[in-house]
Amino acid sequence: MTELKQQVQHALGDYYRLDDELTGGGMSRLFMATEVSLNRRVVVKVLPPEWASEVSAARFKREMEVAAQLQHPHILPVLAAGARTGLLYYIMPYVAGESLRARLKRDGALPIADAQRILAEIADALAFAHERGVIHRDIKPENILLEGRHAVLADFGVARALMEARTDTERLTSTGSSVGTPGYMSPEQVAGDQIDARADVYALSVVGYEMIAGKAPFTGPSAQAILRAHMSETPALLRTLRPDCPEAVERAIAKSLSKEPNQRFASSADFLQAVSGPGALSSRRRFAVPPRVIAIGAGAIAVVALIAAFVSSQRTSGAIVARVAAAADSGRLDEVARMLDTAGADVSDGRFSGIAIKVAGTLQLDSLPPGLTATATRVSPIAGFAQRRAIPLGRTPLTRSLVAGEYFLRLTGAGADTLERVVSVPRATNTVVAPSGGTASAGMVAVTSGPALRKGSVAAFEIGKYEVTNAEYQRFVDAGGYRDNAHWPDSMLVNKKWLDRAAALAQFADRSGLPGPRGWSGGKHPADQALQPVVSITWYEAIAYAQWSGTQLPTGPQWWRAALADGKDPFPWGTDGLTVEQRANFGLGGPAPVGSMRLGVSPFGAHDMAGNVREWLSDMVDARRRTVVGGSWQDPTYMFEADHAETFEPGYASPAIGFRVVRTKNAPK
Amino acid sequence: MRIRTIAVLLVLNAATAMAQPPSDRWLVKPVDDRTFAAFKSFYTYDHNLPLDLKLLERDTAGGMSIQHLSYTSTPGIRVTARAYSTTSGSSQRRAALIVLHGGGGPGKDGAGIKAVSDYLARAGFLVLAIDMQFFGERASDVLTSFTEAEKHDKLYNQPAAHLAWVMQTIKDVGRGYDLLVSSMDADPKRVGIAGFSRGAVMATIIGGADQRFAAVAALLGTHFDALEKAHEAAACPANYVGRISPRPLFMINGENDSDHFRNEAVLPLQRLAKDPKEFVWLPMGHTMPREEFPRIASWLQTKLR
Repeated sequence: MTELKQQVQHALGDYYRLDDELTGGGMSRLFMATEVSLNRRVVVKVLPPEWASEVSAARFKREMEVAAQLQHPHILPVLAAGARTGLLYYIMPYVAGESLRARLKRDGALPIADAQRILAEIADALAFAHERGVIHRDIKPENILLEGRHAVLADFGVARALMEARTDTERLTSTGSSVGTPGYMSPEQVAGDQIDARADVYALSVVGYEMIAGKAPFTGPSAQAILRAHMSETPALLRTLRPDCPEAVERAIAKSLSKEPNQRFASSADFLQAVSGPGALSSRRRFAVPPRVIAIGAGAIAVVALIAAFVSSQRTSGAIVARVAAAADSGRLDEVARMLDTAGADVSDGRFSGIAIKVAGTLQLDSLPPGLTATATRVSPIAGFAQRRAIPLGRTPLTRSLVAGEYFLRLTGAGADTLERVVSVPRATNTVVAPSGGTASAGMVAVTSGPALRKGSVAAFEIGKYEVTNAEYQRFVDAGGYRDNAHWPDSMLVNKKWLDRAAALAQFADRSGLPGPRGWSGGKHPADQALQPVVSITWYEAIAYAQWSGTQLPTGPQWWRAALADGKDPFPWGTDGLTVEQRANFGLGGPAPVGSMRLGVSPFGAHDMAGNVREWLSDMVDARRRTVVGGSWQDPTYMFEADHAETFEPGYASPAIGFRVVRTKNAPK
Repeated sequence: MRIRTIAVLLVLNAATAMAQPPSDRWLVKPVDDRTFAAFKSFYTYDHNLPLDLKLLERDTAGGMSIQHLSYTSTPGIRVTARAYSTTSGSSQRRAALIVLHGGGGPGKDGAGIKAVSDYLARAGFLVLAIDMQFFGERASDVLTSFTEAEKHDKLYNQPAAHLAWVMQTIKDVGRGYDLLVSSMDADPKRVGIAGFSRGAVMATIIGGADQRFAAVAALLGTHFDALEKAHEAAACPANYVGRISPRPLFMINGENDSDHFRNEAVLPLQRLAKDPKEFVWLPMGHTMPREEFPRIASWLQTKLR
């Protein structure tokens, strides 16, 4: 065992068993270790001894304590930290993955979607930390770890500990470098000025630039040259290097790289919105919420309670009330909700009674069956899922005060499938009976019987939660669905001609001539589009798939009931006609993976009824015409409306038309 | 039993999806020159009123400059717009376009209109996409949900309100022309209009009313849409479309358009158009796929060369 390893093992005692040393720690040293009591793998990071001589043990521990409070899905937590003479170390969970630096070295530029996701996740982590007054100060690819599809940010607190220590003596070291890494230091950091959250966003934007362009925006033969570049050079616009970069992302990064902090985004939350919000035009990702955000619901209440306890210990109750009151007075409801969320407080709390009058509405919620457990997550169609905390509402029926606005409801319990839908809480009382219709088959949602859109009524049925995806349709193709005559009529209308079965099926071929949707090749869907709705298929193919899977295509009345329930509101989410593009895929960007637009979910929990792809109905207008409804990624938003149902010949195929299926309860499966 | 169900469905579908738009006498015989001359008083405006151009924001990225701006149209009425141009523009006067949006609530800021404005700017035009009154940043309590029912009940099927709206739009677009020529280096002889859906209906009217526009592209446009019932003579495209000539008219329509029916609403209007004219029918509904953008750009490039 080396001398350092012995020292560290000695400091750790019996609680951790030091294993092999890892590479990639830069000036620091990294060791694998085992936390003996839990038999779990951790990593011990030992800072360079020269830092240890600068930073007092007390200060290091203080910074580590602050860092340890940051509990966020994209922040690598600090499990423990210690300081002994000449030795500063801390312990973090082992991440099975690699650093972003390693990935960049190996792959160069990243796919846009990956880069956007990493940016959004780290920006989310920064927003969380910044709201709590913690600045990272050393954002760089080495500190971003990739675990599966997700990114986590490591090393909170270290740079600050070092910086504070140095500020105590002199701002710059004798070598003339301030704390940070030259490639990622904002001009004000280079200058040794006071820095704030905007410096972190600057550094993250440098990382973003590097991920997208495949090269750093500020380079030079020496550290000094790189630092000078930060002060004086403007990097080339991203789209000149990477034309497929969304404009909004290019703009957001360019703005964050402004030399003047005042010209950048005011906060990392604003940057997050710019790179992942509506303008980022990655429609397939817009507002797509990592499943864990919703999963937070019940499971993370313990974490929320911890954060709440932390926050309330940091801030006096009176200060929160005053701040919330100020926002309430100026009608900034989102801000009121955000502050309450951060503080783990509730608008129905007695402290806020004076404020509640100004901002709260009442939700009366019942469900069929009653007794379901409900949570509400505040959402905003403009800012995406604003709230990280799912507010537990209790069991239905219930009445609850909430800051007026829109909420994503989740109802769970025995006797009914989990139902997710959006609900609006106005500055009054909104009574909602969630029409959960019991349980449905896998992949379907239950729709209760009730009025049809214009007249008549519809019996209970199940409908696909999503449009049929390429992956699902692949199974039909692989099972020989196109070869089984039972699924196909004797003659079919294609390009205005009636063809016999064989001639028609010869037309229903992919690009390589094999049976399948027109956009496929080699009998397979494009590899990266498994979760997108199947498109470029005729009505006959939709019917054949339904037959094969023991389902049917929806009738018009069924489809509209699933989309609008009783049809009192014009849209699946309610009445808001100005945010359609934030709730449904109408952005001309192509089909999106099903379920990407959560704020457009219907009252029965069916996704993408508006937009994404138009859907074939079973109804026959006449022998030559079939109906499609719902509007698509290619259409203007008003094409969702029933008045814009269109008819095509059944042999028509379009990249904007797909389908979903229904199952009638008493129909044979 | 099953046969009866299908029969009922047939009737329901025929009643909803395929409601026939009404016609009007002008579609058979447009108003005469004297009547048409009288319309001019509705949309004549004060050319000396300062435009009072305000630049609200400028966004330069990816070789494209987008200016968010507003200007005064008529006393007390301001038009919000975005001007798109490539940053590598020459110092010479350029061909320009006014882009008119359809019936979507976000107006000029709807995804499709933004995409086509961007595309046309990259094709070399100086593009001014404006919000029509009541839409986009000019939204008011006249329209709030922007559903077809609301738009028709409160605007399109209110003949007086509709007439006022159409006349205001002719003026707003005319003032857009003034702005392009006076402040944005547009070549006064090479300014066209490209309108989509409701904007295409407007483009047909404006093309006949304002002779300064050198080319008119009416995309997914029509005479009456599926839910319109009646309009005033001065707000009827049938009274304007024949007066676009000798300037060229271009129309693209979908054979299966659910809003602008081919036989009842589009073909009769097209019959009133005079040469030069070019009509394209595509096997699609009321939609403008990206793949058709080049066709639009190329027609405009030819006519505004």
